[in-house]
Amino acid sequence: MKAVVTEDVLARARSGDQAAFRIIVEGYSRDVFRLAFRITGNEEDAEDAVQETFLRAYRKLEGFEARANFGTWLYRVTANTSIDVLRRRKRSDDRTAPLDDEGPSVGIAPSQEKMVYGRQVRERVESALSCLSELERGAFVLRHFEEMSLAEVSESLDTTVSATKQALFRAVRKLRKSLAPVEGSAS
Amino acid sequence: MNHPSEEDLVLHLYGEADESDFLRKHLESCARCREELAVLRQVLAEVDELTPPERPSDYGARVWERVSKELPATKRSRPYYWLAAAAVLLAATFLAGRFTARPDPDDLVELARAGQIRERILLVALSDHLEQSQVLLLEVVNRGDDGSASPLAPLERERAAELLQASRLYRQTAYQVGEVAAADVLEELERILLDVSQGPESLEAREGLKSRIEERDMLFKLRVLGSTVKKF
Repeated sequence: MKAVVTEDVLARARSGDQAAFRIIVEGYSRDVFRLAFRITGNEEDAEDAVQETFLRAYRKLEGFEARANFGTWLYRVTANTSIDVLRRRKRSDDRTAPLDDEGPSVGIAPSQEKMVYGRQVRERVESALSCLSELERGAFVLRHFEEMSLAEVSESLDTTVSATKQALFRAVRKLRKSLAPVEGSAS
Repeated sequence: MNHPSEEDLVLHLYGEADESDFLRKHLESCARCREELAVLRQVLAEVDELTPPERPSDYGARVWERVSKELPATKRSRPYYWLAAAAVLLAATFLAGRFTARPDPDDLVELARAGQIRERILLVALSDHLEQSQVLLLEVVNRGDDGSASPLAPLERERAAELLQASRLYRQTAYQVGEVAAADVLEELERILLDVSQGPESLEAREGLKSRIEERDMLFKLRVLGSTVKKF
């Protein structure tokens, strides 16, 4: 996450200044949502994760070391909170129903066809990602979308580089199984 | 011909490979591995289609509106204060188990007075509990890797039963004070510990137990919770 708050704001927020914490929330909300959405896979859970992330961050802010990168620290809180939300959701219900049951119909206009195709791709990807375990999804999202190094991912997820690598390998293997094109069609 | 593994190709795609001449030269000369790499690229490109939905321009302000309602009026200095309550419970259990008579209330009062020291002791105790649980589960998961697939030893089952008791106390306290995420992890741990303490007899049951520990990322969850506790 890019730095959007000054050290002074951070210092004030750490001492409990809610006006300073508001600057942090408003500055980082979009980045936190983006990461939360990619880990949880749906808007409702992502919004829950955003709120919970900032509440956890507020409680833990005292423990944040000023020398560390605040964005990386907040990433870590977001990733772990999103994984918690994902875990709770997986356990409480199974909301993996497709976004829309409609399939492509005959005789639709090209632009509509493109939209339908785009939606089908999204559904396929969402479905494939929902098959990953929390650790696999966290490791994949942080490495693939957020372009963090494996070392940074392992630090964010509180695990070893070796475990992160294995989680990433398993994630890619599962995604490949769900999404791979028919053999010979790769270009 | 020795081909690089899928793992090597994944690391190569993410720029994390130890780029030896072998991989580079191999890809230049091996059509099969280039094809393999192309498939992986295509799969990962498809994943990129999943873009998060747009948020309104005043999104930050909306989030603040929700978050600010939940913030305490004054900042708590010890977020894991609930552990102090668990300390009293644990101490009471300890005393009750040690003596046949009920624990002397004075002992509990003394414990309650211990304040920060007790809280620190409990943080260490919970952290230790999570570590011991990890060690035990790791032993269960690794059991049979040498092909022996032997049943759980009575000592391991006994350890599981002890950890199960402690875990229940931590979990109950966590629920009571609203630390739902921590309580959820402890509840999952309890189910596993219960199975370990009962010592699954058949090979199939033992394999099932191992699979559940792995599929639920139990070791990872314990590590994350343990790490959170250590920070306080």
